[in-house]
Amino acid sequence: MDTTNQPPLLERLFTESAGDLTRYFARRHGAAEGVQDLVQETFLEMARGLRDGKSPKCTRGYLFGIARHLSHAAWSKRAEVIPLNAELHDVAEPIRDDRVEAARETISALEPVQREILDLRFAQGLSYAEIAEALSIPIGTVRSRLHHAVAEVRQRLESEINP
Amino acid sequence: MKPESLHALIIDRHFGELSPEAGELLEHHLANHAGARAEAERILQSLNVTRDAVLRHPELGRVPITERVSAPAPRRIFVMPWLARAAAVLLLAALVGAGGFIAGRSGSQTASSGPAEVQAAPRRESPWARYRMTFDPAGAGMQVVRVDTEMLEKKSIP
Repeated sequence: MDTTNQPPLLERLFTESAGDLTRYFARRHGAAEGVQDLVQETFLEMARGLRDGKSPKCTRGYLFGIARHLSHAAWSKRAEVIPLNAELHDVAEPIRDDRVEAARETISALEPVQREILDLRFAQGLSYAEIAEALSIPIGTVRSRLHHAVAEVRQRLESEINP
Repeated sequence: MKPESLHALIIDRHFGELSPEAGELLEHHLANHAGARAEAERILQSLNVTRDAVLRHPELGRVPITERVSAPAPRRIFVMPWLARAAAVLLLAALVGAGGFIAGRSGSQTASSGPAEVQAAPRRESPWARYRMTFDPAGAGMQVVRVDTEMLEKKSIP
C-alpha cells in the first residue's frame, strides 16, 4: 500500500475533526473566541500524547476525550457558562414541544454519563466505539446506556399519552 | 423476538451500529411481522424526540467529570492514636475492676460469713478454679480470692 501521499495522522485528524471539535466546544461554552483556543489545545494535547507513545484504539474518540477534559477544565474556571448561540446547532423538525419537554425532563434525571453519551451521539455524531474511547468506558456500556435512555424517554412519552 | 431485543436492534440499526448480517435478519423479521413494524416505528419516534431534546438542550450534556476520582482518604477520628489506645486499655481495666467488684459484693451478700467461708474452701488445684475480687467487711478493702467453681456449683444447688 502506498502511504507516501497520505498526510500524517495529526494533520488528517485536524482536517477531519476540527469542525466537529469547534461545534463541540461551542455547544458547551458558547460562541466565544476561546473556542478556537480550546480546539488548538486539544490537538496540542493529542500531539503530546502521540509523542509520548500513546496509541489510542480510536483516534477520534481519543481526541474527543481530550476535548472533554479541556472543556471541563475551562468550564470549571468560569463562573457562568455563556448561553448557547442558537445559530450553532440545527435542530430537526420539532415533533411537539411538550413531548420534547417531557423527554428533556426524563433525560435530565438520567445519570451524568448517560446524558453525556446522548450528547456525544446525537450532537457530535460519535460512534459507539468513539464514545467509549472518549469516556473511557466499554462499548457495551455505551450501547446499554443509550438503549436504556431511549427506553426511559419512550416510557415517559407513553405515560403522557396514557396516564 | 423479544421486545427488548427489537428495541436494541432498531436503535443500533438507526445509528449504523448493526452488522450487515444482523441487519438482514432484522429486515426479514420486520417484513414478516406487522406488530414488530409498528413497534419499530414507535421506537424510532422515541429516538427522534430524544434527539430533539438533546439538540435543543445542550445543558443536558454538560456534566461534571466524576470518574477516575481517587477515593478520599479515610478521615482520622483520633489525632493521637497512642492516646486512644491508652484510653482503651484504661477503660478495659476499669470495666474488669467494676465487674469484679460487683461480683464480689453480690457473693459476700449471699454467703453467710463472707470471705471467711471462701477462705475456708479447700485449696485444691482445680483447673476450673478462678479468681474473684471481694469486699472485706472487716474494713480491709478489696481483696482477690481464689474460688473453686465446684464449690460454687454445690452451693447453688438447693
